[in-house]
Amino acid sequence: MKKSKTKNLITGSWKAKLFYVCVVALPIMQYVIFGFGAQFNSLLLSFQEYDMSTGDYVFSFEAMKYNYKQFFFELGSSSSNLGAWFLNSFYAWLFTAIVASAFALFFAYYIAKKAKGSAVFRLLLFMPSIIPPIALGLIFRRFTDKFLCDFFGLFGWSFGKPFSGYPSENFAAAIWYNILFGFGVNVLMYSGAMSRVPSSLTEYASLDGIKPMQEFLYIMMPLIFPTFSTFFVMGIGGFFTNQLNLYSFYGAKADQSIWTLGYFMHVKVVGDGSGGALADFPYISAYGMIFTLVAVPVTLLVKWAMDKVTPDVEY
Amino acid sequence: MKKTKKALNTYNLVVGIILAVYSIFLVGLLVWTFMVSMKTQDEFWINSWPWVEGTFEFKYIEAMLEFRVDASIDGFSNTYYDLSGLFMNSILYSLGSAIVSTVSPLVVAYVASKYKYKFSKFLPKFVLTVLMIPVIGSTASTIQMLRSMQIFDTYFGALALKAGFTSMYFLVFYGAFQSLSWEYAEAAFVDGASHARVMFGIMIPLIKPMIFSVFIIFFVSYWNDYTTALTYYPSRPTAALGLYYFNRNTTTSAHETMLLTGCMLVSIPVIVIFLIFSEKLMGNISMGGIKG
Repeated sequence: MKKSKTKNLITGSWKAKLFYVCVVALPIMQYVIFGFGAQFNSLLLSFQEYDMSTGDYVFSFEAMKYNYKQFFFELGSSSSNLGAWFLNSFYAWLFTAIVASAFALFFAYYIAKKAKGSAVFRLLLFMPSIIPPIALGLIFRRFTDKFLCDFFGLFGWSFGKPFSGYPSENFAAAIWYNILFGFGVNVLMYSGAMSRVPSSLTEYASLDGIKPMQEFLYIMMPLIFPTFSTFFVMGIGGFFTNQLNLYSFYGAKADQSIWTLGYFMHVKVVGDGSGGALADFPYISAYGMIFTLVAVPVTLLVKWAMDKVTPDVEY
Repeated sequence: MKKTKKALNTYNLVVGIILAVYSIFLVGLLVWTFMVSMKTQDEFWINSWPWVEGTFEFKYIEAMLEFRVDASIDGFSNTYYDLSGLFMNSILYSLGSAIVSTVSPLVVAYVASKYKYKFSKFLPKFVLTVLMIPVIGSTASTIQMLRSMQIFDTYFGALALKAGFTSMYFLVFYGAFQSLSWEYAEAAFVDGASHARVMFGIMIPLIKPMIFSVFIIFFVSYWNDYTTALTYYPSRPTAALGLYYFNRNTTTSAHETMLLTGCMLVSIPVIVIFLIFSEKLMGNISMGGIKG
């Protein structure tokens, strides 16, 4: 009784309210401007066109129609690469969110079990995540095209330079790079979750003669499923934003046939670093709105489905 | 039991071999780059095996002096930065961004967890929703807004973008503050301490190690991130952005070893930070895997 009175005196005073408002005001304002505001402005921008003579964006019904129609026109046009970029984005998502995650789970299990060298492997798996992507990308491109090509050549297995050769090879090399260096955070998260699984559970299971794969599938996976599901749901938007690090390898000059949707949006807005074409901003915003309109319900639907299948676990 | 042990050994053997190959590959990649960065340009092109012939020359000091990038965004005025300038920009950008990115979720999480207003209950749910819902393609809009506010390509503009509280670290701080007893604060209030004093003088210091870890994570990520700097703050390039400019502006392949030296020089500070604080960094990141 006395406690709640003291608490009420503290949080119920006008000074407390004033302090509260002062603390949250700036961060909330930041979100209103650069979070909600930027998204709302993106919607407005998608209804506008760039006036070359004044340098301003102006509203017009025609502009809105054009910006949104452009997307569907390009999607259906055989001369446009948009369809291919969707497919590339799907492959990028499949390999980075699904295949790399599967590997990350296996590696995490090894580390959580504290098998031989797990501390060193944990460190090394995470290390690529802390090297600047531009440096790692530039290094890896040269290492692959020069050293690895010559190295495999010694065994009679010669192939073209993956990053400088044919576009299909460029794409495969970029996917390979993203799998190879994309484990870090996932392995840490999953191994962190796995190491918190009570050892008594796995000990009982091992007394019953359970095999490692069974333990992994029937004990670990259900118990860390909430972590996995959160990662999976948060990764759905990555379908539209994943650039496959193409910008690190090629700047704005990657072959158009290997672009992903994320790379396309980035290149259109930023160009090669000297700024994108301001006239493209409205239609890129329209693309962004369409992608968001697709990604949001899909994310919510997947989250709902994941929540349904997530076992109710407490440990 | 014996069978289980054998199966576990097989699993460990297979995964262990894969991880060992991975580790050799990664270390090999870094060692090769380090060795190549000490070769001459001709030696680099003639030979893929830097250890076979030629001499090694430690050119890092020379590179610090010679590495220059043109950061003019209009394509006409030449604004050059050498490596020391790039590093200075990196420090200012990463430090400032890491401070605002840490402080913003920290203070909001504090009041949300300790001041039981209706809005406080709403905040964690709101942050979770924002983290979950993907927002795509608002970069053009953000650039336009920054331009119209006349803070595009300014230090203030770059920091303003980073001062959001809706990061996953809001939830980490929120959880930490919730587990802290409010009794320290009550005692301080009885002694006449102000709300600000209680927050900055008593409650926040109690989670100092966690704040430091989050700060380091942000610092490293801003040091590495060149695309955000390129998009919103292009004319004061950070070291990572400088590497991009160097690669973009060098049309011939005559500076390959210089580029690789630059890559090593830009990576060394974060690798050192990582090696010093690896447990703090990795421990803090894996914390997110508690319950999703």
